Amino acid sequence: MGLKKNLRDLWVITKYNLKIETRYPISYAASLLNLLFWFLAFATLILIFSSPNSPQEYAIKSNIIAWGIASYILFSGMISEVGYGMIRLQRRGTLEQILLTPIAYWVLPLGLAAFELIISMIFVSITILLMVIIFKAPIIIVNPLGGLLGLALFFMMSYGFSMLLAGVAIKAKRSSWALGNALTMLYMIFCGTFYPFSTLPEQILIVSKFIPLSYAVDIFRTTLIGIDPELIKGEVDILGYSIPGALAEWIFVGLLSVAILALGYIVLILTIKDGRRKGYLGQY
Amino acid sequence: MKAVFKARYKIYVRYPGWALLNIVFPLFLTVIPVFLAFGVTGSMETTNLIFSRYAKTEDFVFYVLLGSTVWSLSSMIMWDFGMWLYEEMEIGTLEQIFLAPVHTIELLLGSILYTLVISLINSIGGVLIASALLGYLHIVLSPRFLLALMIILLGFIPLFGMSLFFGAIVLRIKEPWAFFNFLTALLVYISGVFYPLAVLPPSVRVIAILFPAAIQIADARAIMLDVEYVFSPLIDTLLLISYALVWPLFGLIMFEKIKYEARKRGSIGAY
Repeated sequence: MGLKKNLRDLWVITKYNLKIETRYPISYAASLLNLLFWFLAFATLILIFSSPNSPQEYAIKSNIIAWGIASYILFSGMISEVGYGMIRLQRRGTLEQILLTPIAYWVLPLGLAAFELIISMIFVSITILLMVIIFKAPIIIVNPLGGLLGLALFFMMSYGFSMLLAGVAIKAKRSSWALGNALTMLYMIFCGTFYPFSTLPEQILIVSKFIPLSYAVDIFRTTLIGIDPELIKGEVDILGYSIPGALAEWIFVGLLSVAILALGYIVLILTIKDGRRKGYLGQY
Repeated sequence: MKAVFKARYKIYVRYPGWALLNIVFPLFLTVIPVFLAFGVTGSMETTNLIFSRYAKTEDFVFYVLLGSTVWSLSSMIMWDFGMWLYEEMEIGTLEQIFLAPVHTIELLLGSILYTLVISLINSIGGVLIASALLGYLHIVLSPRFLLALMIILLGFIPLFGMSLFFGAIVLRIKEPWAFFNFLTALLVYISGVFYPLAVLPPSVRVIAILFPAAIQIADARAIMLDVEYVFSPLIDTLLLISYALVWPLFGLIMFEKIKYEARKRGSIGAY
């Protein structure tokens, strides 16, 4: 009974957002064009610098970049919809009312995330289509199931970070914009969104290796394309046992995804409870 | 005018994180295309060599840094007035502002003064920090920089007119984010932030030169790096002057028209 009710509430939040989105077709078209022009700007650069002498390498690099951009679409969407979504509701004065309704605390952020996942998948499909048309590169999907699992872990991690931001934003209000933007900038520069990790300078790669999302992006796109991970290569020694780098990266990403998801959830729920007690949920 | 400036400035200094991000933004916008090019070519030497075939300069990093800085500056000026109106509308204070006994031009000038001071401090600070980090301080600290700054400042006049027009759009459509994002992406693509206008298809280039920032970016690069102007120094300056005459007038007419309609319908306070 409880599960059924929670699922219904979750669907209501998702449907509510989808309804709002479909009411503004011009806004939707503008978002698609936004994606197209960013893609064209970066594609122009890639086409200037790409070498037609190595078609195989070009195809793999194009796929790495395209799937990296796809991961960015999902991550920035989650930050915007869940991280800033809560603060948007607070600014408009409806957050307190929503949280006063008899729904579980986790339903609202998860509903927003589910909505964003649907929208992001549409945009990801368009990105990949653009890659085929503009880069003239084939789509490489060698391991769809593995890629899907990698995407699920990446989603968990992004959702965890978004809830963390939402928790901070409800309390910090406008100051949190800087944190959200900083998160996005760090992601774009260090998490290999627009380039393969293997081509990054060593000093940058060291920073990339300290950011959990880098591993999630790496495992998602390299599994999908069917190449070895770029961040953990060869064999890795753990407690005297030697395991393949790919397996080590899967374990690492799996553990980190669960940990960040739990951390984000705890921070958000504690902030909501604190906000209810001190009465700042409705203040902006 | 002073009151608008002071109010906005006070809010700005309350959030030091914003200033920090604005300062690092051009550096951030430089790093991504540089890494992307590096990722495709495999080395900085190859990147510079290939780039020189298109832009007549082997300094790809400074080329992009200059483009990113001018772009961030122009973009902030173009959007700031509209975004300020949007914020006031969202928190329900826009109607009160319009009820105050001040003309639109006074509001705009106060807002312009704020945008100009903040964005120039941020951009010059940003370009100095980035140049110091990347080893271009000797290029930036030269008389050429002042000449480039003059061209950039001239380009601000039409951009202020555009900001009025976008303010009018905010009053009309209420939720401007999709439009803002779309236009930002379009302008990044057509104004040659990361590459010379010459690599764009001819039809896109025609659209690009209608936009003042494309000329600002190309001419600032031409002055600092001895690369090509869009047409020539004289024609580019005349183009910017003509835009400086047309855009403010057009922006003001559109803004007053839409504000008048919104006042008649009683929709200024509605969000």
